[in-house]
Amino acid sequence: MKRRLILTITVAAFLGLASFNNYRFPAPIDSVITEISEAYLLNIETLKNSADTFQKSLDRASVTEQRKIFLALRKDYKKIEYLIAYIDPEFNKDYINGAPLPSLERKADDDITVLEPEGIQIIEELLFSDEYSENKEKISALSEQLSFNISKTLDFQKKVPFTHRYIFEAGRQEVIRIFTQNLAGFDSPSLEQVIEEQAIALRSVKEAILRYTPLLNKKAPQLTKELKRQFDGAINYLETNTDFEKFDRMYFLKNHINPIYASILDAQLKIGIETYYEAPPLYQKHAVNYYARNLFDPQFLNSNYYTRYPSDKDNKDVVSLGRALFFDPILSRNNKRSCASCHQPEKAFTDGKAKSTAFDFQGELKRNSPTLINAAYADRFFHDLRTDMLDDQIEHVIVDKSEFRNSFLNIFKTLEKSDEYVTLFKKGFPELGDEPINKYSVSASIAAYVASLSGFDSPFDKYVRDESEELSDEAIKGFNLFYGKAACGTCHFAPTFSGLVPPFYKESESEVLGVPADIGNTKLDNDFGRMNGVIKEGAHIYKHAFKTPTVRNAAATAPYMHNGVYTSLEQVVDFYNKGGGQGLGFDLPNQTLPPDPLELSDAESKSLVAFMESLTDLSSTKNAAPTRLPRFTDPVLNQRKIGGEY
Amino acid sequence: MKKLRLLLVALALPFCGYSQFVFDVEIDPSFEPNTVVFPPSPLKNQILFIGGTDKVQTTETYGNAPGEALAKQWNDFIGFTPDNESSDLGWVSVNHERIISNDSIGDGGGMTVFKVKRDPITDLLEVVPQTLADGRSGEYFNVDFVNTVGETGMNCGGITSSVDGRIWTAEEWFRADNDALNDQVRNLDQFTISTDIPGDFDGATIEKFENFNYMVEIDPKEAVAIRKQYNWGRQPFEGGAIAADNKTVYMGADATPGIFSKFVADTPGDFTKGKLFAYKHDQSGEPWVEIANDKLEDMLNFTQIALSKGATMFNRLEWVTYHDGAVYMTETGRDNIGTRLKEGAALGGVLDDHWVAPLKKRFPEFADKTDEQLIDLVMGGSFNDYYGRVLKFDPATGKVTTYLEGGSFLEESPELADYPENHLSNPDGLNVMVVNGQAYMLICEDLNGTSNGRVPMGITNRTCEFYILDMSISAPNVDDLVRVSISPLGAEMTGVQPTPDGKTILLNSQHPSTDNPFPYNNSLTYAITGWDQAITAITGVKDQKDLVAGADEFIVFPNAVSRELELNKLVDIALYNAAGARVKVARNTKTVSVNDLATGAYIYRAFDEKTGKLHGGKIIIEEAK
Repeated sequence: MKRRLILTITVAAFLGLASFNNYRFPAPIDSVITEISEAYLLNIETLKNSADTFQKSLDRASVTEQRKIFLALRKDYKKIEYLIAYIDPEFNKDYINGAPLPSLERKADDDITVLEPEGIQIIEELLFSDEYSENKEKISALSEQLSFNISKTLDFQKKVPFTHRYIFEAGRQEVIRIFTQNLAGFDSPSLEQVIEEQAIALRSVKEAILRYTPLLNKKAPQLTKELKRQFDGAINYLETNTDFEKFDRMYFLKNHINPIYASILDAQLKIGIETYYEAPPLYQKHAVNYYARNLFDPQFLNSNYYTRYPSDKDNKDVVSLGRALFFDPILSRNNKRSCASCHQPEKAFTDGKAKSTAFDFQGELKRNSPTLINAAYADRFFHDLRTDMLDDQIEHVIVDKSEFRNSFLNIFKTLEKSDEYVTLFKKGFPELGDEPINKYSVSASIAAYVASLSGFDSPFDKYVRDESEELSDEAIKGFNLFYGKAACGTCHFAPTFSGLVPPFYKESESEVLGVPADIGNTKLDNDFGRMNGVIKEGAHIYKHAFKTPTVRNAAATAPYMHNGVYTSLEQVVDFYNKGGGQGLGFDLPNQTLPPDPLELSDAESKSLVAFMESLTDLSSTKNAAPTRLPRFTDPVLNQRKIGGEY
Repeated sequence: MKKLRLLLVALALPFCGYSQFVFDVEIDPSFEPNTVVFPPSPLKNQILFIGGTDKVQTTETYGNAPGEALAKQWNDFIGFTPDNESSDLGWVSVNHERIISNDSIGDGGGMTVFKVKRDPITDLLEVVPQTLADGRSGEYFNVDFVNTVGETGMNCGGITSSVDGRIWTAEEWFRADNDALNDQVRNLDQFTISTDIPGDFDGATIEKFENFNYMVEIDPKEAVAIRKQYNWGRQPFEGGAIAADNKTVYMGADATPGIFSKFVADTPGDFTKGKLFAYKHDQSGEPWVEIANDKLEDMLNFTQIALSKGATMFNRLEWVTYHDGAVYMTETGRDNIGTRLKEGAALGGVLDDHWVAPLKKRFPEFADKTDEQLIDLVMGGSFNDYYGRVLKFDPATGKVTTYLEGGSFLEESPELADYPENHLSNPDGLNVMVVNGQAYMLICEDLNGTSNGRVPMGITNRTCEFYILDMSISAPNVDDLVRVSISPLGAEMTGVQPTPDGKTILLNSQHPSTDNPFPYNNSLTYAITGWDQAITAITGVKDQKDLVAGADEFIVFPNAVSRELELNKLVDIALYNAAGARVKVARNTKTVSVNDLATGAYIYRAFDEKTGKLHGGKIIIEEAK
């Protein structure tokens, strides 16, 4: 305490010296950041001590006592979560609070190495498992590592120069994390105290942000009061409604999460603290639109972040060129197939088939055709996650012998014969000069068109944004189940309800579910998925792993799963309700979905479906296809059909 | 208990209390005090080759007629072969680091070669059209591996001979079976070796995957592969270098344990015959153990044999370069060493004491530990080697020492004010450029991760930096690095290769700079020209900085080459555009990059916490002519 006082005085002394003739002296500096970082570092120290206490308890205390001590440690972690997950997200994920699943070593160029999980979650999983006694040694080793890693990150973070911007960004990210992950039970295998923990996490954010009260009061005293009221209201709600299954997530989202998310931004802007758009280097792209005030704002994610197309370009001409290419069978070797062959706007940009028809009707493709609405919001594409940019995804379709059976060189040659196309390319890509048709311009324009197919205006979205009161009680119930008892929300994250991981939205996840080969659920589908995707991910942990797709527009995109095995959402819910492949009795040791039945009642299953049905926004499918295609001089080519023949 | 804790923290917070000034969002831009003119960079950037977009000339492959194909992507190593017979500059060889099938280029990895000349007036490079002996004619040529040595895989690093520019490409990513080729190599039949290397290689039949992971010599002039060096061992090669004697080849393996090996040819220039050695620092006499290299089976098991003979183990060796009698190589580091070194030690591998210094620097609490204890710690996998380093091997002493330790927040450097500008994480690409008689080390990062300060705070994207180090500095540390460029997400820079005239650096990147008019979504080979003019401007900045460091007044001066505004005090600084709107805020810094700003006038306000003074002025970023 004494130290803080001295610091404040020194700072004030500096203030007295400051002078600058022509400038109006701006807002006073403050010891706020010192106070916040001190409190934070102190809390890391506390967490370290808790880890040691837990470690010691392993020899002495009963299992029940150990679990109690461990849950206290979790609470200590929640106090620092907002900043530790911001300051060093990778370290936090690798060593402190990452998923209790094996992962692949990054950037190891000599071999594929599977790393066993470390940190709080895996300890919790082992500690609360029925096989506790077999896990004892492992728990001890893991908790020792945890303690060591906490002290290492503390050493490092003591040297980190904290700045105001971090506090506000970290605070807002924590609000996203609390809602999209924590409340769903994402990071707590035992689900013992999920709701109470969020009160602790939010209180830390509150304490940090409210340290800015003196600064904020000078600009907007009303906002200070409002912030305090909102934080207290939310914390109080969390503290008084602690039942994981009964917790009303919809109410909490609308009345607490979104208002707080907006108010922290307001406070930051009012005080005049820079946002990440002003932090060097300025050309960095950001996945989250920082000015969005609501987690379900249609602009919450920046679609440009996910493509290689520069974010600062006005891409109207490029999108319209991409649209023409998307529906033009000229891209396929036989001029009969287009992107729209398998991604038909009237079927929500799918083809309604379990697996799509192959080139020349020679059988079918390997997997189900996914919807393209909101597809851009991902950092990996294809069910097996084999490309990392939408722009690169297109090449696979063009060269695949079962899809377009074509080559870029052949496409350039053909497109160059159309004056109309050449003009459109020149308009979209003036920087390419006289040779505007190349791999980049073809890929970028199709990617730009696909990125334009967003749909965040479903009845559900309008309801959570308070733009409409129309959402059935059943859908609301379903939403609460989705994020609660049914545990869907632990993989299908808001707002895309896909595997795009909050709060950074920079990584797409896959899961091993054990999807059956047949609708009778008799045997495991033999597709190895991600294990056969990227060469450097050919590891057993990814055997049968598939990208977690969006649930948005699910009502319009049957059949379901990577192989289209299920024809209705009820069947899909039933599959999860039974505990996936393991629950069905398949031999699948690396399944990432818990094998326990969810024990959903029929009524609950129906509610879940009702919620998924409320996520339908097909506005981007209306009048999607162009009424004509660019002309060629060759009359045969001009007979090609918009969208292709099959 | 609580009291004690408070005390601990109070003691442990030497850096708290950073200047944290809240700058106005808008200012009145009419005020014009002292103006700093920021001249355009004397360096000229140009694109030479775009992977995936430029067309390469192909040979007859898999029954497909010779013709044209879009080049492969994922540009990595760049080799340079001077042309001593014409006024052209020489041939550029570019690796493609992927395994991907292709009907006309060939399956697996690949290489593209092209020739450049220098415009005598502008000094810029131009790609020269060529007609090769096999009749192919054009600008870019696919190196034919399929019809010469069998396919290659993941062409990563390589060797440019310091003597005559002969080129070897390194097949890194180690294959353990045919499945690991992921259906990207169509012919998985057993492979019959045809080679002029003496031993039992010629005519031997091996599994397809066993024909990957060699150093492979190519002829950049005719765009064909010459031979796989079966006599250098099958290893996860990344880099290599050829000494001035034209006999000794030094090679690094990107693995943990990675072996540092050398091949010594019997006759200068003939690398088919000679002896192979693995580095063993604790060997009495010469620190090299010979590995008999005339049997295919031994060469297939090079690493195991080397370890069994007690070879020294390294932690992912990347590029190797030779300069002035010494060998420099990057040891890029690894977050999780795990049990790898232990397993290597079980076979006989040993660790040398170049680990001791970094460990002591990183863990002050280990100050009283003995060297043996520290080595044991590394061996046990408890040391997460987050940052890596540049090593130096001196053939005269036979010792490998740390030339430049990577990292941030080391005890002696860099100082907080220089972070993140001065730090080094996971060095990878390495070369030496001689400009006006003076040697400069060129270092590219390739981050293994973003934790522990490997990227600046508040940024979660991977960024990679490219640095220059004046090699006349003795015992350099990260403070001596001069950052040339910082590349955004996904744009790792590789292949750093200077031209022998010291004017140009060739680099590979995925998208080198966002201010380029052409939107780059492909792997690019680009040239930065003008180092003969610019080198002193960039490396001399340190002297300038030292000169103004002690000044009482606040001094701002531009560094045109690195595109950074240098400040002599540690400040928080905001830049405003001509309309008075705040566009950029940087904190706790002595440098501000203007690389991300359009040309034009800006106003800065800088707050110096130490003096409590607010400084201001105008900057004019000039347009390049």
